[in-house]
Amino acid sequence: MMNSKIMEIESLGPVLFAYSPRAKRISISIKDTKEIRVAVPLNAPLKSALKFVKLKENWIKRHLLKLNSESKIYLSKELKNKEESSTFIKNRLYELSQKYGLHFKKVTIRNQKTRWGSCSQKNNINLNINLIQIPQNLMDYVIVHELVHTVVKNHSYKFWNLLDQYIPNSRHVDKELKKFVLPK
Amino acid sequence: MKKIKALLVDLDGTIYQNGKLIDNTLITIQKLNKNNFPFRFITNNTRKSRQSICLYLRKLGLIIDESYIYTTMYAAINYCKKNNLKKIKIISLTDEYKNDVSDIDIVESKPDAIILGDLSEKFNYYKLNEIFIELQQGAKLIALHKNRYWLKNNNITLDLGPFVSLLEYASNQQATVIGKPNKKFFEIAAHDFKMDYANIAVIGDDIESDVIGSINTGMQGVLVKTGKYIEEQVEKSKIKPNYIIDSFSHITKNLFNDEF
Repeated sequence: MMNSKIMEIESLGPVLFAYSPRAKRISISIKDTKEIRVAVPLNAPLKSALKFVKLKENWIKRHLLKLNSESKIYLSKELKNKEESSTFIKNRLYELSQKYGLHFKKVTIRNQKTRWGSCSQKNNINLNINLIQIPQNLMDYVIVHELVHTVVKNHSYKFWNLLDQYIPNSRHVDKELKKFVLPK
Repeated sequence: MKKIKALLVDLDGTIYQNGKLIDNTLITIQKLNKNNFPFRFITNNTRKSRQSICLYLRKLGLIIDESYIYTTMYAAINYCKKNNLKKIKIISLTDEYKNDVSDIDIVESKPDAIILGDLSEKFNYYKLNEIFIELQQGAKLIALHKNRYWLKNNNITLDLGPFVSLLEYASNQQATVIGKPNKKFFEIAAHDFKMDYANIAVIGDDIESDVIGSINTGMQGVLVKTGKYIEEQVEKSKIKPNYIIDSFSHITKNLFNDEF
């Protein structure tokens, strides 16, 4: 059963403790909205979660500061001309797949809330329709990122090295992408 | 008149107006694409990068590639590359231009050329003097446009032109002016077409910058009756447009002989 509790922590403000059956260990995440969320495994006592947050106080503060200094761009919920947007993204995928000789099986364009793209074990690629709202170089980056996953399935150094051959300085581009927030 | 085989299309007042696409624009662009008819967009906007303009158009529903858009800044950088001007100093109100810059060395001092954009109220004695000294030391002056004034909230306001003149006079050199109605801009934007200029038509709502500029370049000038179109200006003008059409979408009658 899922259970969550918001606790006020001195020097940090409200912190959400969310008991989750999927959590294997205590983990802290900071959302774009600056909400601090702590995922707690069902069998872990709240006390140890609190202790963990205290331990990581500086890390949390650092990340909150960073969030404040970065200006986020919130993408629009309303998309005009979805059909052509979808075609445009697909065509770009075909072009880049041809250009780099990275082959995939099938492509689906979706309106996803959390991911820009994904690549399945079977090399089916999913791309987010909101890619139409971000600069072309970032759209290309996401597409090539997924195409590289047809060769390397994880995010190991091998993956980034390969990606770098197509998109120089890919980690930096990845950071650029983080500025854009998908519509909720 | 020679057959029109490619289009250069102005944006503000021709494609969109007051934050909306002008009627039938989408369907017209779809027709051009379906017929593999080559076209590019041209704009004298000095404050926005082609990236921002592309995203703005997509927001309005016009899904096009960034490479279809030619801004004055992009054309100026293109001009520098072609003329082997490697170290460039850019004077601009915002750093939007950074999106349009690639494979070029941006410097603060000792440039081969200075691209002069709009600084509005930020132009002052020190800034102008700094530019003047660079020009005296051999930098070439490239101006995004040379408009005398513009209307800011309906008040007449100094534009970039007078500052260009000031620097030309002081440094005793003629600036290379890039934006419409200058030939260079049309030439750079038409480069991809690789065809006789007489087969290219420029469509816009400004008789001076779009129509006269294109005719002087050897292209055809098409005036639309949207945006800032004023009938009296057309009557007064010595150079007449090759065609006057109600709006952008009406070009398909000329190109494909069909109407909405």
